Amino acid sequence: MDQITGSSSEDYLPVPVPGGYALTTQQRQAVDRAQDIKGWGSDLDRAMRPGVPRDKAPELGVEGLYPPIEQQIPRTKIHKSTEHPRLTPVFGTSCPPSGLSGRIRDFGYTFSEGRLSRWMTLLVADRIDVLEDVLNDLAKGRIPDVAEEMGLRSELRYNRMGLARKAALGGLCVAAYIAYSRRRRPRRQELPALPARRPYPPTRVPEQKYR
Amino acid sequence: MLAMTYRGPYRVRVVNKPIPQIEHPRDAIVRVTRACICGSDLHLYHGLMPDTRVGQTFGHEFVGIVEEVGSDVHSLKAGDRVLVPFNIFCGECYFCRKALFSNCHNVNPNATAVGGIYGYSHTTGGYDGGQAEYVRVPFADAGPTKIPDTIDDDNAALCTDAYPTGYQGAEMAEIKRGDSVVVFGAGPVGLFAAKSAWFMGAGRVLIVDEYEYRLDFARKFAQCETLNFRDVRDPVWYLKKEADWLGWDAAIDAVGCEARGSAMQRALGVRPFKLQGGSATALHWAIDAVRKGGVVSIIGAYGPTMNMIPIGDAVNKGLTLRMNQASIKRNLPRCIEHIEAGHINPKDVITHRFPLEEIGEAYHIFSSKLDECIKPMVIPPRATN
Repeated sequence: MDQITGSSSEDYLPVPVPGGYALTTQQRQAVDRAQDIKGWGSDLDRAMRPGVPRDKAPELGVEGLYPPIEQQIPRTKIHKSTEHPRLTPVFGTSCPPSGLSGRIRDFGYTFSEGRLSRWMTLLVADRIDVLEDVLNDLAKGRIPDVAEEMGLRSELRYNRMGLARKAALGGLCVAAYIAYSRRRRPRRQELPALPARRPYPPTRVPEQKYR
Repeated sequence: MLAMTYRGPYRVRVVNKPIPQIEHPRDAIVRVTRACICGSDLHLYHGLMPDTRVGQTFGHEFVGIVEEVGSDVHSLKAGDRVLVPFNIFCGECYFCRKALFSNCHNVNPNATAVGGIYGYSHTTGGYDGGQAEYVRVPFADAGPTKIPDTIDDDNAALCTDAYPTGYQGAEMAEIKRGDSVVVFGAGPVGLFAAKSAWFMGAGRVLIVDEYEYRLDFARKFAQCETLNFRDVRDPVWYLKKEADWLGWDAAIDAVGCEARGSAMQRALGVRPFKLQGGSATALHWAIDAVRKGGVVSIIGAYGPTMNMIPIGDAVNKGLTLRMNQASIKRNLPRCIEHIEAGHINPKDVITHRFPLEEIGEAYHIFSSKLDECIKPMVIPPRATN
């Protein structure tokens, strides 16, 4: 689609966008689509919108922050933000921290939520968690079925060209790396001959007397 | 029970896990009949959300049958058919009393910056999600809603997140009669936001995306104009031209942190550097495309830490920026009324259905946008209907 990058009084009105039509500013002020769009204007009255007004309840003080709710008993370690003075009454119990990734998460949670260090530390812990999981699988004699986990069958079914392209690109990168590393390292027959070994201990050189 | 578990970026596995137990008197255990994969689940799948632990079950869009309730649950009983909003909230704290159910202070010990969400990493509380046969639902009196007989499970599953989220995106855009609205992102949330903009009396709605099949669907589902930003050299310039150089009255960012369109944003925020909380290209364009004094509504999900956005442009243009994780239960009654009135049929966006055992395929198809996927649904083996 052509774009006119200059500006002049001879510029024409925008052409219709495919699938729709363009209205001038005057036209769109008066538009009413009730006749051709089901439900048009049914929430025009702002009283019909659930989000209006924004504050629906009477003002509460900070005592409303932690109303008295029975406390869920933690049976495993639960990480708590430094910005909560106490554990929330209810919390999730999925995947308690463990291993090296757990220790890194412990460290990450010592930072407040406004610090990039906190989030980057947790991301690092996530990656180490993945590695720990793979090692755990291998230790149990299980090789992860990566093709099934990544859904590669659907790639074969719906995007063969894309899969072939990725495989070709991957192969090209590997071949380029192998070629590059071979060029840097000289072949054995091109290496210069090592000098003959000197006798040991070295012959003592007599001390020079300077005039 | 069978449950999906995260094994690392781009890897998920279905395993046998113990059925969740009641951990608190206000808990309920729900047997899942329908679960959806959300676009924001892809941020977890791609390894972008901090504190995403191997072994966690994802899934914050699910409906099911109540199997067991705790001793302090009064509004639900075993056998009730419920839809469970993705927010976990107590209903009693400072924020819940203001109907900010996505900002509850009592459910997420790991962070105060966000409330509790099912299956969305430990950053949002460490709860296992609904891409499984059973799920633990805390504060069962507050969150879960009994599904009316007029709504089927597929539509109900869309009402746990996507549809009310799109609705709130349009509501936060403060649309008045005749306003022009540009929606960034033609995924399910963007589609519902565009449709909801019409409910609020918009005069013109345009959706921006890069996938032609999604734009084709948007023209049919949301009856709006479309723009493929790959077809133009400068999308913001083009949008300004489309709005007679005034700019749009409101812009809705329904893309979130994996936006395409800027190589620099993606390199710094997604791959390989991860120095910012994702790629904020859609938000950048929203701020620049909207008129002076306009409104930018941010409903797309962004991770923690900072992002590069033109805040100076927002200041100089006198914009209003409104944003939040959607408060589903607040919007739910009105959203259900629209379905019952025939204004919208949310399940039209479901393009793929998978058994739980094939969730790896589901994630890959959704992530790579294969087979014109817009919204995949997952059906656990014990779902009887």
